[in-house]
Amino acid sequence: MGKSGGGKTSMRSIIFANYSAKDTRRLGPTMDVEQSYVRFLGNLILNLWDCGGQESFMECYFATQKDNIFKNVEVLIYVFDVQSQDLDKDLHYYQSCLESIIQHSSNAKIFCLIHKMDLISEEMRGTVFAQREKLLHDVSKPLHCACFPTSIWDETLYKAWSKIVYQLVPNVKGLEKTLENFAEIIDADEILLFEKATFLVISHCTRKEHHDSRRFEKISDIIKQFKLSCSKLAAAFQSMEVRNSTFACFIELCTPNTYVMVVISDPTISSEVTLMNIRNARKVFEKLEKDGVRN
Amino acid sequence: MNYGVSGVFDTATNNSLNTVGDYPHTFQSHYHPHSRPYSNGFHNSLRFNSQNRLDDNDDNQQQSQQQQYQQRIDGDYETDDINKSKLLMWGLTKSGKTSIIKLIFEKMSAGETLKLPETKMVQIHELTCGIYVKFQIRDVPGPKMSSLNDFEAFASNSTTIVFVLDITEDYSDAINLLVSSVQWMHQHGHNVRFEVLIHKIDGVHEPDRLERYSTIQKQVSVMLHECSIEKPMINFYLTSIYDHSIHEAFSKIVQNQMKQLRALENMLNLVTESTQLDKIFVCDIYNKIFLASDTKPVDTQLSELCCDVVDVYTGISSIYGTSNNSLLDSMSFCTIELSIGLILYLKDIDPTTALICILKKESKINEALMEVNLNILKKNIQELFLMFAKNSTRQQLNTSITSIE
Repeated sequence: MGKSGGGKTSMRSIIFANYSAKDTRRLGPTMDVEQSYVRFLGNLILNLWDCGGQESFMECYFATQKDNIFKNVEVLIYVFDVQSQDLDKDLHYYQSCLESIIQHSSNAKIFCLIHKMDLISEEMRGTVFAQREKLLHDVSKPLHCACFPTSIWDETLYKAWSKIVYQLVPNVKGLEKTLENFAEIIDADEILLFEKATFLVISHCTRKEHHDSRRFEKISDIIKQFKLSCSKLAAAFQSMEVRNSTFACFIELCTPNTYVMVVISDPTISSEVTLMNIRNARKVFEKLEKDGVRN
Repeated sequence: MNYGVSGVFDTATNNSLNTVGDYPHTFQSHYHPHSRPYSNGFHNSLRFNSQNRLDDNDDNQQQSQQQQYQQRIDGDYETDDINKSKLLMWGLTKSGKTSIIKLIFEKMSAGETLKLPETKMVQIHELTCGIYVKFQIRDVPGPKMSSLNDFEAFASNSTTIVFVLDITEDYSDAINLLVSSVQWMHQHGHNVRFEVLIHKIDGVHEPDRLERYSTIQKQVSVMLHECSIEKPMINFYLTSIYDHSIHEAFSKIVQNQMKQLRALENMLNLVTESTQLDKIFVCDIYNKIFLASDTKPVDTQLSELCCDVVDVYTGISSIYGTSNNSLLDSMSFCTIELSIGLILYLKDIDPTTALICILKKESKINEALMEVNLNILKKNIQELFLMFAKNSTRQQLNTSITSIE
């Protein structure tokens, strides 16, 4: 949810519908609520409600459609346009949302995305975001909201959405434990698990500290851009190996719905060994996924 | 190779980078041969290599060859001003000349180029693609109307003129400027090539683009015919900074400057004919300009994809590679398997240029054999470039080329 023109439909199109950032210019205002069903991790269906933000619709949501919209919500994503002139009105609508959520789905997780951060100059971004975050934390009490700065023009979009879908992955702790074991066995520096369609990082294990804390979303961004280029040729990439003298990185299909990325910096380990290890590990991950669904 | 270290330093600072305008510092550090960022990496990687390999003799030989190659690059790094290509960016004001240079050579994003101020001073950029393809680009303030007032001063000694035509504005003035420039060059007996970029084509509806292209081409050739200029050296390209077309067009422009092009193309043709490789590109990974490719025709989208492989490689290497080595070193490679039965393969030639190959998955490539073939190709391309560089610097001394070991 969020005010009209905030960027909700653009974000949804980029993450789930393979739009490039440029393509979102073509999108028009959303009329009323657009429901979409997105397949995630193969057997999870995400029911996305993209609520048009024009005032007439907003009024409706809190009046007649209240039951319909706010019942059974697992995740509420509220999008704030950082350049909005009408901060008070935005907050007013946000608070109405929270009230309805407390009434109908009190267990929902709340995410606030401070969007269009690319329009703020780089030096100011930290302070502007911190201000908004504090404001939203205060306004949201007693509920807790997680805030993220986002922009469709860089990797921050992927970071926020990774965190959002992380909540929805079944058996995520079991997955992490298995990744840790796997990393120990094959002596990897880092292992990332991506969801296949959106390439969002759903789990990771880091055995060697790395200086770049934003690398996960950067990698999502790089691969997503490459996937988009491939789609122009009606192709998809199946596997990737990148190496130079200081590291080797393998991106392979793990289960039918996830990709695994293994980073190894020991140059004595040959590619074949790692690829064989990944192939053998697939069975373990597939079983884990099936168990997760059953539970 | 008889220069002392200090001698080499002097030459470099005098010749290289006499830019009048601004120039990004990071760009310099990649191309400055004396900081030797990659030679350490070279030797480190060779140490790693020797731990795996069973045959030490082969390895020692390779190591000494690499060292020799290293010395020869540094020794022969002398720019020769006389033979260097000089390009002039020409066109009406606000047509996009500076944006193109900033986008390709300084990695500015397309959005940022819109904020660039009008160019008021002449800016001279000394550029290299790969280590050996050197040229100079002169970026000048464009005239508001088709007047040739400063053209003589700007165009002195230019070997090629890159004319940028803004197709979203009324381009009759631009065409007049183009034709009068060609006329001027012809009258003064200069044999200059004109590369016309029909720019900002993203502002034109797709179905109309080819029509505009042929209209402009016809108009220009008719006007030149009327001035009795037969067979002018003009090429036309449709470009936009928002997609790959500008890189493609500039790749062709740079290729037209290269003396080594024919030999390189022949080399690559030989390789594609005799191995399972379908297509090979030689690409500068920082500018994403293709220096050469074999002459088999290829889908533009596929060549665009090869450029994107470079993006993937540089993206992932800059995150996980150790920062003190260069991104592309002797053990670099990247393979990407696509669902349509193609494999894209990237391998280094030297720290700034890479080979990008396309091969079909079903050809049952023997990996080790391909590795050997590509290593031979890499060595030969390095030798080719060195030979050309030596030829042009030693021409006056009339020394014969040292034999290749």
